[in-house]
Amino acid sequence: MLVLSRKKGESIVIQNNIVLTVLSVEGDNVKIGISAPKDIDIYRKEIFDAIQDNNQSAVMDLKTIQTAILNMDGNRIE
Amino acid sequence: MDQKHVINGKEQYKEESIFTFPKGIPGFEHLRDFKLQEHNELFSIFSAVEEDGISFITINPFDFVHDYEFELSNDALADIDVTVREQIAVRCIVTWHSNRDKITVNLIAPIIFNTENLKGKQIILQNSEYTTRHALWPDVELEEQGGES
Repeated sequence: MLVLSRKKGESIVIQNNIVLTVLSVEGDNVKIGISAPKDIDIYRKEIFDAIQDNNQSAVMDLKTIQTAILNMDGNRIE
Repeated sequence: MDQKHVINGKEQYKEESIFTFPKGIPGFEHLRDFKLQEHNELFSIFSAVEEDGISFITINPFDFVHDYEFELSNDALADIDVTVREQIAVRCIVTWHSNRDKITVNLIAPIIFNTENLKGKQIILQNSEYTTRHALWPDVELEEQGGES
């Protein structure tokens, strides 16, 4: 991992077009401004990880889905 | 008659369409083409075209969570070239469980479809209270889970 020290108001440029700016530092809390091209998605890592995990645990194969939904239908219709 | 009308008749799409996800979806970034297929009035099936084993049960969140709402950023709209609201369809991924009370739905990462150009994207809501595991069936047992909603 590349480690850089920055002061408040200073920036880092990645690949010519992504600019990270340290906006404020208060105790443990750092506010970072990010300007990047529109097609770059920016997420908090823990949330992105949670979505990846959730998708991976929700995946099923078609046959299992059909059985699952059929069972549900059966329960619903009585 | 293969058009479906949900959410005040605003949402229109064919019962089975193949959508391109330019960036895949989180956890499956290598996949691009996904088929969305209506199963019944509540559930649709969202499956990777290239890989048989990768399918998801999805719902239209507005059918289940009546006060569900989120804001689509302009960047997200631009990603799938949405220009008017009527082009948008929304689905959320369900995590199935044999115990129906444990079935959950991911409300923080809805899948947005552009029904006109057949592009899609799973977006992640920023600063949202929603979670990845919202109970699909609320704790109060509804007597009739019939077709009417």
